[in-house]
Amino acid sequence: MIRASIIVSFAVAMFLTVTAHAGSVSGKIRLANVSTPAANQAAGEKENVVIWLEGTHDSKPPETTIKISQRSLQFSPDFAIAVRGQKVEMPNDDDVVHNVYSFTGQNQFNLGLYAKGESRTVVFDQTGIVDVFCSIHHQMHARVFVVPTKYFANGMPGHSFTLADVPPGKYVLKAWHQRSHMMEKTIIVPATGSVTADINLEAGAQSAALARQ
Amino acid sequence: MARHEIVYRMTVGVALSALLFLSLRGFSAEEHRPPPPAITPQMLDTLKTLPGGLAALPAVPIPADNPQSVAKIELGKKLFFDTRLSLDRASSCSTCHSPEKAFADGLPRAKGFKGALLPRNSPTVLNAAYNSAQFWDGRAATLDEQCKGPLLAPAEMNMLDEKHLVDRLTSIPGYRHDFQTIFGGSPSLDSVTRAVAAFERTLVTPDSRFDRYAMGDKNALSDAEKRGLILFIGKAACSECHNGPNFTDNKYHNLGIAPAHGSPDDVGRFAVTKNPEDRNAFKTPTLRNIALTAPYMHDGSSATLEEVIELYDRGGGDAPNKSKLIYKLNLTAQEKADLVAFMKSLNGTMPQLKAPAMYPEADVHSKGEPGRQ
Repeated sequence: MIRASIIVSFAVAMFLTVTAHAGSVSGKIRLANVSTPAANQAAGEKENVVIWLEGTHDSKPPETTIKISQRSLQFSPDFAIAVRGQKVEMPNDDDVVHNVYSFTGQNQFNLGLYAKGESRTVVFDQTGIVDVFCSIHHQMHARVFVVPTKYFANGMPGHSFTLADVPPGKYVLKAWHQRSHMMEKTIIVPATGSVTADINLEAGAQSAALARQ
Repeated sequence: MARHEIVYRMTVGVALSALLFLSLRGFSAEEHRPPPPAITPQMLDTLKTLPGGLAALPAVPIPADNPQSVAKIELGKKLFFDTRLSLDRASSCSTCHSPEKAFADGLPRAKGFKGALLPRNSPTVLNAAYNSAQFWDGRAATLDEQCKGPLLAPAEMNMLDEKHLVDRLTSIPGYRHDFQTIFGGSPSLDSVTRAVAAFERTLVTPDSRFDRYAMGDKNALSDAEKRGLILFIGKAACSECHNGPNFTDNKYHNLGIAPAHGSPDDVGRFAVTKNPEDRNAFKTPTLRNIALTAPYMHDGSSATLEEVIELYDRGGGDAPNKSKLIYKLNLTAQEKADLVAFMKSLNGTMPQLKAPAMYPEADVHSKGEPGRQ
């Protein structure tokens, strides 16, 4: 799966922002029963792990826009993370018409038909995973993971993650992975410095269902 | 429900918003509601422009270094039909690009020098002037450049080299006179190809029923043809590659067609670029006059338009390195018939011409030429 470049650049931007009284959270992402980093990467490389913090901090959505194109009869990227309330732009870059829609719970939408050079924007009000399809081209499928906070990271099994510039306080760290149970743990972010919080995922198929609640 | 905003960047957006309105009628909040309704011919008729840049043929592009003139076109026509442009005086350009066969040859694979079977299907010259790539592998960008290939190729007209071609034409007083008048010199490979290309730029077929539809005559296409066009720009996704006024992206795609039994593996565009992604990829051909240019595909492996649709419907062939744009379409029998109906609306007005009745007389005093056979 392709990681949204915009998410990466957003994470980089957060990393580069220096503010007083902010700490960071970092750790390694592992799949349980798979011991070595190499085995973790082999097992889950290119699978997205979404990590985010829930707490009492300000959770205004970023001004930046997430972009998911319709290109070469696929969604590109086919996975993105959006903060609740953030704009998700869906331009048609193909020479055919598309009709993008979702049936997912309270996040369902139907953008209707549109052609190359046009774009429509969706704003998701509910957190969780959203399955996005095209009604004309049934093989097209993208997923948007809607998080309630701008403090999130998009990681992969076998890799490390960092949430930078987090205001100090008590948070619940949550993690989602397609093939694993949802995971959560309580962490304290210091005023300066960092806290280590490794993510140990265990296989289970209930993540998607949980994420939709 | 998620909120959505609409960003218009094209005039077509206004018309498509009407489609959005129509498609949202009957909306329900059920978890598993059916997909939105398909486009109807009536909805198609509201579009100001068609997706994929599909449009009526514009004016023919003429390169600045080879302007058209009546005399040049007339000379190019004579050369196009003159079998003296092949080593054995047996074939001309028109052998494989015959006006009786919509400027193709009706064969699965072309017959070359002394009837040898060539690896590829003869593409039509009709509307080739609009393309930015010539040959199935795009190894020539212009018609002028393209023309040099078959003239000198040993497997085709086999004129050996430029000198041999020039000697042959110089031995014909009428041609000598024409080249002097038009190009200010004796015949050369360059002036021969310029004349032939100038003639080929007149081989265009405007005013098909599709063109009339695209220019605003909403009655020019039947409902079946309109349904076919809707599939073409939608479910069947033909316009992802067959786009623009000449129904080609001038790019190269691998449909997974395996080489026919006994024929060599034709690597297609790879031979030009050496890019592994181009292996067995071939240029998207125009679909104008497609009903007149059977058989189809670079190797002539599909005999009819119906067979072509079946090939795409099952997701192309099984050969490696197939394009991701090719996948199972799950078309119904009605949809297949509608697509064929639409393609038949792309027949334009044929250029009214026949092979010249007269050619410049050979010089009876000529001593002939080396290698004459």
